[in-house]
Amino acid sequence: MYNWTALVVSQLLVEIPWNILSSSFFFVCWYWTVGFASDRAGYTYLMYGIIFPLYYTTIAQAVAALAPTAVISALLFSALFAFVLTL
Amino acid sequence: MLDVIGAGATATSSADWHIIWNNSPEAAVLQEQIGKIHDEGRARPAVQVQLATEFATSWNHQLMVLCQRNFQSYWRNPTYLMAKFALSIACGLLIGFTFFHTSDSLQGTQTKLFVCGITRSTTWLLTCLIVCLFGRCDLRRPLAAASDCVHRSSIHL
Repeated sequence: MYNWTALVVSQLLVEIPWNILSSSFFFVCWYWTVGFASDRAGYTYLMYGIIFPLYYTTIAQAVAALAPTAVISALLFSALFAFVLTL
Repeated sequence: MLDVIGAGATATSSADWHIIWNNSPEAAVLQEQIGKIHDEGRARPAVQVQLATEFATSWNHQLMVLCQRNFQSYWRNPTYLMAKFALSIACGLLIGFTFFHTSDSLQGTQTKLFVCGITRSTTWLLTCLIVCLFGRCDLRRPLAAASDCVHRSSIHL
């Protein structure tokens, strides 16, 4: 049996590298096709490829933790969508 | 021997064996030994019967073991990760080519801002959805509840 904080921290630690990798794929597919300026790619990558995954990993875990089923979590997402818009 | 100690309903005994034993040197030696064992035992501190925490190992060690098990579970069931990657790439390409090479005009800049907005929301929403679609919801759900549920979730790992 584990301390629940250790369980959550380990899940975050394991999830974050994969989400950063996933966001990096997204960034590569998206940044230059839209036609953003290449000389600003570094900072944009820092924000969209590294900082943003940290944010959505933690909040996805939070939402998943408080939702009893996948259906209810889908409903919660639409309510919590406001957090995304105001980020 | 039964005759000597006076056992049985009709037999009689010529001596009170209890008093004889109590007065014997063997009994004195035995009493001394018992007393010594008691003294030794009382000289030691009390036995710790309770663990300091409810867990068998430290928090840091728990974290290390859990990280290892989490990485292993991702390694053994890569569908979750592959779906995540496929989704990221597909979404990136979809949004990218929908707004392919947007210009830097007034309208174009507005479009680019819009692209940044929908990028955030799609990534976030899809991550949340994927987390739940792959049953990770079920794994995390009990965390908010009592500790026996945490036990259940640790079985899942």
